Amino acid sequence: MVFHTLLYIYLFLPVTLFFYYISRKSLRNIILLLASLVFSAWFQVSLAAVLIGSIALNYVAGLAIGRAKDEKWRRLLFTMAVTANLALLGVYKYFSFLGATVSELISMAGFDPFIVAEFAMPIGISFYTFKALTYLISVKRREVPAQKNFIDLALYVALFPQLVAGPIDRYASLAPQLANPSPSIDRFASGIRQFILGLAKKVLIATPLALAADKIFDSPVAMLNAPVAWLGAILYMLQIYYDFAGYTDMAIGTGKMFGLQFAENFNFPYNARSVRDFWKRWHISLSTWLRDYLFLPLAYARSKKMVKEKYLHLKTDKWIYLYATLVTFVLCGLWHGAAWTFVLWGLFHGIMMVIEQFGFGRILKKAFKPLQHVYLLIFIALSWVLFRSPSVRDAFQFMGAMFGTGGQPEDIWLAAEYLDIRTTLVLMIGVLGSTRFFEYLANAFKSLMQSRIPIIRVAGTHAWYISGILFAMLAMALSMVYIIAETSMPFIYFKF
Amino acid sequence: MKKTVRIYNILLMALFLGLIMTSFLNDLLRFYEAPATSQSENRNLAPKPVFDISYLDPYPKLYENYFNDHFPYRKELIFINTLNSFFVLNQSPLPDEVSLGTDGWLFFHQKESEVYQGKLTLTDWQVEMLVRDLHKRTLSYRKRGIRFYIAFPPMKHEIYSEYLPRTFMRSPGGIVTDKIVGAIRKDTVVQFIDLKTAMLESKRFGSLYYKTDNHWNWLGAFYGYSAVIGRIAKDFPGVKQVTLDDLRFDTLKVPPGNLAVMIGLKDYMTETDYIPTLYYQRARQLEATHQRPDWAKDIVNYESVRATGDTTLPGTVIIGDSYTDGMRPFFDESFNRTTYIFDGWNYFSNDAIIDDVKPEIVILLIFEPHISHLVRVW
Repeated sequence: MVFHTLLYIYLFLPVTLFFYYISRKSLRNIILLLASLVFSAWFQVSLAAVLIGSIALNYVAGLAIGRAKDEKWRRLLFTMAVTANLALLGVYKYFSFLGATVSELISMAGFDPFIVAEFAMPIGISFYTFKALTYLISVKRREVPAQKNFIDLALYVALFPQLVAGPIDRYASLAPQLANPSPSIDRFASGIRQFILGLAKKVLIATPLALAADKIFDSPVAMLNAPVAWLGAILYMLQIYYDFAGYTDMAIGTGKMFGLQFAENFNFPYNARSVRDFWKRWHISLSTWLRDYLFLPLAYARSKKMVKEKYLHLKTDKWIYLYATLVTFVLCGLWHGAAWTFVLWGLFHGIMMVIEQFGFGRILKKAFKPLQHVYLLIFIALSWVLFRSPSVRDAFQFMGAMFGTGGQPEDIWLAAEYLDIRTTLVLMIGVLGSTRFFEYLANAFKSLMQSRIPIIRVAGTHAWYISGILFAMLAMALSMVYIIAETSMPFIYFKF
Repeated sequence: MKKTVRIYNILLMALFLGLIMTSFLNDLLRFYEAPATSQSENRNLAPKPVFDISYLDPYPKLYENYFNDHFPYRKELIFINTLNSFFVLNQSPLPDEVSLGTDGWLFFHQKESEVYQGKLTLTDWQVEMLVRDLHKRTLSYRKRGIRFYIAFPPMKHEIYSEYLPRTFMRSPGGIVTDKIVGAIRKDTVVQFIDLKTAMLESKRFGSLYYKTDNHWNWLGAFYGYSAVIGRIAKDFPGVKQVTLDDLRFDTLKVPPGNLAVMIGLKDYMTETDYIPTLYYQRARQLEATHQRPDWAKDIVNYESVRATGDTTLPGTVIIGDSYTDGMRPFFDESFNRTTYIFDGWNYFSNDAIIDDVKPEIVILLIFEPHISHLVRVW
């Protein structure tokens, strides 16, 4: 089940809210856990067993790590638990990819390739595995006590609003909220606003952008020219942002309806002026997770081994940064998907981070600000091509088309043909929405509420809330029309 | 101030909760009853699935289909989207299925687009196997004294590409059917009739395809027939060729075609058709007597037979698809007995019928995007 479906909005959410709020406080987490398991099982019932297995494993492991007095024993238990979690992720997400890669290498060496079994991937496994690891690391570092209440731990791992696309909230921040949620009318209303905003981002902006972007990305390179390819890259760049940010907003909004406050995941990422800045604004819960639990431990471990001041005329701390950054970003790419395109995407980002760190960042900072934005946006647009393309070959062909190797004459009007009324409208809103434009607009409106003139203050307050409600209802109604239209499945031949 | 904010927040909550309770309210008050079928979608709506604890995996998907299909005012909301897409945004309400061309022309996606844009490809080996299969089939019929002809009714994209959106381009490196036709032409045994060239030459005589349907119209079918029968007449000079002297075409406004129905605009579009009237009509329907194979049990009109009773004319079996339908009135008059077989786009040799009917001619008419169906080994 995903948030932008009729089933979620008109069945799952009201039923869960109903049972949650009519239940005694002591039963509410059980209701949420049951709802989370149903939510997970809705994708494939049998694969919900993997989630339950992960919960059981981490519950037992957390208790064992928490109780172990001996540091060596504690470390061994922790290593075993982390290995088990990664093995689960490996089997379901990476086994086929690794098998296919080995098979291809074997066939390149002249041997017969083999067929690799494909495992269906349990939904959200990347997210709940990272959340479980967060818990284990926190327990191992004695930042939090091991959770004795099975329901509370299970709920932290399986919590349905975060199951499919995060945010990856830290155990230390979410566990106290789960133990003592604080629902209120204001938080609930704020959750509704954020949920509808997310729904609109996903359905009214990301989906039409995807339609136009797909048309371009699915075209053979021979049918592209540079303006069309750049248009495709820009459309996809906005699509992925609104898709992910919209989904996150729906998750955070749902959380608020149950009295929970999740971490924000995006902060106008395309306003960034460097790759480093971008990662402080994009999928923040993942980037901070990777920084704290991968990059820093890797750098720390390496610094212990590299004792000299310089290696090959390069300072040791630069070697350490290079190593930890590249490993972190390659793994970040692999986390996003089991394919070489994702690995390269991660590597691409890692290399740029290193280049910025090794001096380019300082030059960039001195440059004209709009140039900094242009640099970032061009880099991000190119990197998303890797992310979007079905293979590395396709990605480089598409990038080639962006620089003039497409099969069509460089006629800008061909790109204009892809911009129908809806795409143009959504593109304009999308571009403005990815900047702080609407925030400034809202702040200007809100300033009326702080006016010294009482009548303006009162009128401004009413106007703000009434327009907010009208906007929310209009966005909801429009989203519903599009969601329902998506359920239309006509057949050209009769299927009665 | 806080009180005002609280009131507005409560109002927002009430509206939102009221909205997301629509389905429950409908269960309670029954203000909307979903129909059993959706005419605009050409299908029955999904039934409520049976909950079987021993076989749970398919249940969620089936239940979601049921829930979606029976959502209150679904049909009306889809219609609002249709009107908004078409009349306000000038877009296809179903962009994945149907494209809006210029001048009111609609184009079907799926396989037709895949072929046209070069996304559907076959390896050299697959093409070689396909041609070898047709070669063997020709020889096998020849042993039984049957002449075998193959023709591919071309897709609308190929004949009226000038009405396609500019972003919708033919693969510059050629399309899969070019490759297949090229290979067939090199085979001296297989008798291939080039309908694409014939249609491109004939389009100056009138519109050969429906604007709102993915099929050719009666006029297009007639010119397709003329190309086929013209080729057959070279081997069977006695065959009756229906010509423009034998019939007249009346131009009529008719309801729009399948693509307009698919996008839900059948009440907002019209179509022009050229209805043929033959000055004579000898062919009559005979009962289809052959037992269907098991795999063909659900196929409507698997076999149908028309006969003129003129024993001076040869008999024929035509294996085809919906494109053959428009050619029937003309083929009916050309042969002594015409057996039409529609085998659900498999285009098998259907030897059981052929061996029983013992025709002099077998014609295989495959709608261009379906040629790849002949590749039995992938």
